[in-house]
Amino acid sequence: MSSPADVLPRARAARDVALIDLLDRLLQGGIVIHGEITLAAADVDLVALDLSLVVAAIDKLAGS
Amino acid sequence: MSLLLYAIGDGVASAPRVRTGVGSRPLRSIGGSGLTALVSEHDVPPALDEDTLWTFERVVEAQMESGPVLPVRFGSLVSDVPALQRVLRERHRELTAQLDRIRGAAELSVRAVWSSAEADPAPGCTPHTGTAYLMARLGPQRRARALSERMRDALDDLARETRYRVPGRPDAPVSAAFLVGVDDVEMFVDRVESLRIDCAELICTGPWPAYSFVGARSSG
Repeated sequence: MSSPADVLPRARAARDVALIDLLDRLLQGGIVIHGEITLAAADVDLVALDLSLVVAAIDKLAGS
Repeated sequence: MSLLLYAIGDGVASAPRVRTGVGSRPLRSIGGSGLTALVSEHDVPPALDEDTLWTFERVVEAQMESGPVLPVRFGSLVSDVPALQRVLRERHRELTAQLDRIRGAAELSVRAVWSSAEADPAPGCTPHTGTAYLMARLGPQRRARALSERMRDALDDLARETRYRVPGRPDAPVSAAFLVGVDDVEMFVDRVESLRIDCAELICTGPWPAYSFVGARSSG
């Protein structure tokens, strides 16, 4: 049985196309440990692909 | 000093698959209650930027080679090893059940976008089928729901679990995540690539760790 890491780089679109999926998963998905997520505010690079998604995620994180 | 968490796996603490993570900090495996957490130590919280997020993602993906991993939401910090082990102990049953659920599987993302420049298939897309003609006459939300049903019909049978979001926005009508057995990933991608939906394009990315199927969104 192959592992996910072996499989299909062709499934991964160009990095800029996958960025929206990366943001969605890392900032809104995954196991939540405490609800305390602290991120440095400096040098935030808001990507133009979906500002509403990033802003909503950051707002949620800043409020937790 | 805090510990940044990347992922949680089961079994004896196995060595990290890569040496460094965010900020080029060394990665460590911390064991407790039959679980293993992958961490790195930081003096300050991690910055939110594209390179950092990709670094984090690569660490979690690499760790999937050692077995099933629960990806942790980016930016999750614990104060020290005892605090981490307390989390593993208190949540052992839940985390073990989640690992069993995703074992041998990965997540694939499929996003639909309307193919017309105006992101509205009614004026900008010439329907080639009766179905497309009818869809063009529906409102945006109904068109998005119809689109999601097409995706379900074509793809759901290949997935253990699915998560659909149908915001109906002109630029993002449907977004879906699929938990797919690793042996079925290639077949799934082939099917997405061969799927033809009038006035819409499908963007497939992955395989990802199972972010959408663990944690707070696992029941969504």
